[in-house]
Amino acid sequence: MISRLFVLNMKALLSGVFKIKPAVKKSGAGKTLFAAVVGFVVVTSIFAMFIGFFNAMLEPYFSAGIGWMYFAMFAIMVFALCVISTIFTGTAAMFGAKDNELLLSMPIKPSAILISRLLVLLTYEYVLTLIIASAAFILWVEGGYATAAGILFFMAGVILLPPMALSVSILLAWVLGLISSRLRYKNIITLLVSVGFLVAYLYFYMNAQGFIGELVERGSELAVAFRAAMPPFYAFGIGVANGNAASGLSFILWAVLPFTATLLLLGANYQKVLTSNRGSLKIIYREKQSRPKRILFALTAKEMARLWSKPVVIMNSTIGSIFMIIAPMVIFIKTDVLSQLLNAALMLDGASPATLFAVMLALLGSINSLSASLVSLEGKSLWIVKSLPVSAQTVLRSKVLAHLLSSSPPCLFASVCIGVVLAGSLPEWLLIVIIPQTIIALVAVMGLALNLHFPKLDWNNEVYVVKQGMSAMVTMFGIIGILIGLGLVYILALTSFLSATAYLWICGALFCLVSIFVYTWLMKAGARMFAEL
Amino acid sequence: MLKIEHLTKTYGDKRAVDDLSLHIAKGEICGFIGHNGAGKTTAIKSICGILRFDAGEIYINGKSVTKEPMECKRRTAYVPDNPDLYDFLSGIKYLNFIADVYSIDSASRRQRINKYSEIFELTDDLASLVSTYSHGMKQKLTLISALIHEPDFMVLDEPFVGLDPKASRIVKDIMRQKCNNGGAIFFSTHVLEVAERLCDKIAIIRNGKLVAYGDMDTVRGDSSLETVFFELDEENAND
Repeated sequence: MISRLFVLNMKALLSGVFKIKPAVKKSGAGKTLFAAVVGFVVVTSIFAMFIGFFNAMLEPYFSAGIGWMYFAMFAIMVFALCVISTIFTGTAAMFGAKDNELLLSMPIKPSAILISRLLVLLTYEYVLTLIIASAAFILWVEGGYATAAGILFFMAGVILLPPMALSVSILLAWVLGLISSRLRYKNIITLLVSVGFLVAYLYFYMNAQGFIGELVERGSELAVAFRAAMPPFYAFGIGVANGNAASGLSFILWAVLPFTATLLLLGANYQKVLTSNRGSLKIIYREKQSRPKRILFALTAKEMARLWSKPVVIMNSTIGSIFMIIAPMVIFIKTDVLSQLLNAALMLDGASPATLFAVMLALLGSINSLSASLVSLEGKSLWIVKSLPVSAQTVLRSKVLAHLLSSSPPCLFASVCIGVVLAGSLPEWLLIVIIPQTIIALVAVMGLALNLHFPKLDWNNEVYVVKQGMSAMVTMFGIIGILIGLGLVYILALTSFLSATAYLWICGALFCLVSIFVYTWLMKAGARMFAEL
Repeated sequence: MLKIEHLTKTYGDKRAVDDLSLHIAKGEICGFIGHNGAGKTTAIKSICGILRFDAGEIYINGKSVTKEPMECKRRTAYVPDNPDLYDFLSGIKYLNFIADVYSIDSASRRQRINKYSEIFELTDDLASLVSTYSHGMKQKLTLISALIHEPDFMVLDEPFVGLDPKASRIVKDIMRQKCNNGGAIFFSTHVLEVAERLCDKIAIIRNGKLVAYGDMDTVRGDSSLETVFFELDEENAND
């Protein structure tokens, strides 16, 4: 029974990527191949990123005699990414799945439902862990530091880190759900907690090098502090680096015990958790004067309401906007960050600080993929807009507008803040303000066009659309790929002919032209595709 | 009010609706009955402009659904068989959204929202999120939103499912009142007694084809609608 439920849940998870249109079979093979290529590119990109990360750590740590830190960092990275990536999926899959009551009504043990759902989340975490572990492992073995016992404990880590992370994310999701169930602004609270996690992780990631430098200087003293603060990761590091059996076993206990405890605790209470109705806060309606809106604005307001009501959508589709709001604050507060960035700009031939910031904001704008999910997010309520006297063009226009509203104001805020700090000239101001907006416009129309090609309307939870949806992945990685490609073209072939600023303006103009072309397509062929859904 | 001419809609090899033709005049309530999968919802969605069809034509008040979809939708209200609404909006925000799309002024929308939410006893719950509503409450909200622009013509797919007896009675009264005021209703149901009591006309569909259609008295004759339905069923099964 567990295996059947597992297969069923995996199908639901993967259908967000591979199942394009339930009734259309003719182009299935081509689109599956396309999905496989996208998947390969995504995995390769993540792998390359971690190769770079671990490569920077390997030699300094091992030559300084603190090779354990290399593995401790690996374990922390895997643990943090697994927790962050499954906390929402965990909530949705474990406690909020729409088929929970249906399954409970069948002759299936609640523990079987629980285990099948945990296995799906574990599979997801194992894929992520394997990518990161491959990078760390290859460099470690190539460096000639590996030992048989170390490899054994490393393998144990690969097997045990995901369940260890899962026990934390599931408990956090459960507690968060219990706390927020009767709060009026639970979405904002969930969002703040999520952003808090992310910022803490990024803070750790950004300060890791400084922390490690200090560790090298004051080795034994900080090693003791690290051991006290993060004992499981320290034990893992020592176990793998030194082949220390006691530390290795200590780590195994750190991983197995919490997971077993979580399993037992949830197993005993799963049915109770799923069926107990704590009730939501009852709000009695008091009549208020409503101001009529124009149709386009009513549709856009509806899209924005959808965005604000779902932290999972905000975190996955407008994460760039969150960074665009946080980044200027960091620059204002931590002035050393600004000077580091300015030094980086000086190192690039022909690039002014304004150019560097324009590129950075463009990159942040490019990771907002909201428009790539907005058609799919209509889901089973698609009948509403299709039965109303609203043209498909207006509906699509409102979705483009919603994307712009979620990305453009935060970007403008960041641009103005950076412009003030730099105290630049008018052309520099224009560069920082306009270039990022052109990429936002491009993502708005490209994402929507891709979502019309890869709609997914029969989802059970938004997470399958915004996180694993084909159009969202293609949009985000595609646009980032285009930006990296354009950057490489400049660095490899154009530096002697063009200044970076002039090149950025040309790219901006190109983005505008492509955006106009795709928007025109959306209003004609795109509208027809929407009507056919 | 509604004129369907040779409507045909296929899904792959399957003809979901096959050469369907019928006509509903102002003031008439027409019941649409048939087995599960007979093609009722496909026909209804085609009438409302949700589904594109392969052949035939549909006219609402003389306007073609394919050529003037916006005009047709402005005069029509649709209540689906399953009220999948925007669960991220509160009831009142959903109603205001619908009112905005139909460009209803403040005073009229206020008066209509108050009137229908009072009738359906939903006023206190309007500030709550739709996600917290029961099936019946969602169905009531769908009905209020369908009535908010005072349509001439209403298309309802299984409108009584999930409603309590009082709300069902209210819906029947509203349907009759609409028709008395010159409107028309086309609705599907599996409850033959309701169709028999409420409808002026009846259309029976089987495997996408219309097997009986006409005034209730003509179709029913001296027997009950249930008897006619099963007799037709047997006849068509033998064919």
